[in-house]
Amino acid sequence: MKPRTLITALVVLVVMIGSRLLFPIKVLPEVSVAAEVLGRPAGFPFTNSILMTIVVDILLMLLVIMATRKMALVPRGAQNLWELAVETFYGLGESVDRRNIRRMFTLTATIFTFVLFANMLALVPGVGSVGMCRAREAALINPPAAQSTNEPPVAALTQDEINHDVGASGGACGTYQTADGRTEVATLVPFFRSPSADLNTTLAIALISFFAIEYFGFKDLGIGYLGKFFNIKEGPYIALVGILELISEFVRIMSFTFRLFGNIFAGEVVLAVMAFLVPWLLPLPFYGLEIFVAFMQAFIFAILTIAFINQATTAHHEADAHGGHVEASPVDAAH
Amino acid sequence: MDKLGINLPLLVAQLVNFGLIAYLLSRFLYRPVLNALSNRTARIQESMENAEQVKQQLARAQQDYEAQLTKARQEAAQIVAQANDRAKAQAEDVLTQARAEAERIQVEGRQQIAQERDQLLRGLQGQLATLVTQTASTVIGQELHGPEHQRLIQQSISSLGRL
Repeated sequence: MKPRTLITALVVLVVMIGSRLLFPIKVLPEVSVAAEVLGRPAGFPFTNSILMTIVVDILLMLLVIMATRKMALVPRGAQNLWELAVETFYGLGESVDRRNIRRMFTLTATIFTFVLFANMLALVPGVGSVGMCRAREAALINPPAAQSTNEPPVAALTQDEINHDVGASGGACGTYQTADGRTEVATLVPFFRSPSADLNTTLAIALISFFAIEYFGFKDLGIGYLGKFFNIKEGPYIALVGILELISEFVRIMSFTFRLFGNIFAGEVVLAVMAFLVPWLLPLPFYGLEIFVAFMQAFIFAILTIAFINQATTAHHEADAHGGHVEASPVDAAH
Repeated sequence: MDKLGINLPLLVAQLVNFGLIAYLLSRFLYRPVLNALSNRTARIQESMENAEQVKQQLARAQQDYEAQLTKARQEAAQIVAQANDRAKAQAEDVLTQARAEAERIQVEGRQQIAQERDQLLRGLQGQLATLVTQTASTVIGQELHGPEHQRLIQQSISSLGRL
């Protein structure tokens, strides 16, 4: 082993052990696939991902409105940046499907922008780690029927109780007494959670994408669109392929949903675990990786939607004639 | 579904949120930006067309200028040639006149010299005849008169004529 490598390994080891001793995080943040409920106004489970969605919406719209409030002929600053983003995305979409980009631009660009902002804001320190202590059941979206109406008074837990109970109970938030005298472990509910790390968000966008694909397919090809899936004229092989195509259409909802969710959720878990193991230095490269993943997932979601719409609006014979690839007709880019 | 946290009200909320954000982005971002880009493209196109027109006008003006310049150069060359010709002719005239004048002056000078010479000779002849007569008289001790006197004078003049 080279001396340089050895020294680097030693430094990393010292930082790992030292930071673990200097900045102890005694309990690994709880990993929950579902978003946690912060409150239930009018029975609506107001989750931390909904709160984050609102934050993303407000921040996004503020940035947009501030940039485009006074459009200048010669763009500067934020306007320039947004123009660059919109133009680049439009050009990219045009390169995939020149024929349809104009009518699906709002949909796909919104997917990209919203998912990108949601993913990026999830990397802000504090998201997923700063929160409040609540009863585990109270944080569930769909709580057990018996406890949903009788929420434990976890808000009364003080900081002293929390620290005192750490280690003894094994929980970050200590314990609390239920109404019937039982001792339960409270759980840390982060205030913010990336919308992309909530299946409700990813499923919602996936459903919108799915219905948009089918809508454009039917709109362009009419009832003939179904011929892609039910085609018995060209033999049993093609008929079978059609059925598989039909199944794959619905599978897309799942692939869209879980691809985005899986990547972002896994990223959050990785960052949390890394911060737990080594609070300093080690999470940094993972942050870089997560920034890349955040961008790529937004990009993939949007571009796949464009590609699937292109595929759906292309007639069967048309695709064959062009070897599966449709040459797009030029469309006036001006709106 | 419970463990995955999928919940219908939340799903509907996210659907509504996406629709809302899509509308707002379309209203405040995509439409204004795409319109601005479109306007800018049109403006650039217009500017380029204008620039092309100006370029063509400039080319035409350049051509006109070149043509006028060529014409002016030709005219100038013609004028210079004419002036040269005229100057040559004038020089020629002046030279001819000068030569003639010189000739005339020369002839007059010669004539004057000849006259003056004749005059001088005539004067000399008179004075010399007197001197010769006086000298001869002194030598021979008598005054010369008559034909002898005339002969001596003629002889002296003849010898003077040979000088």
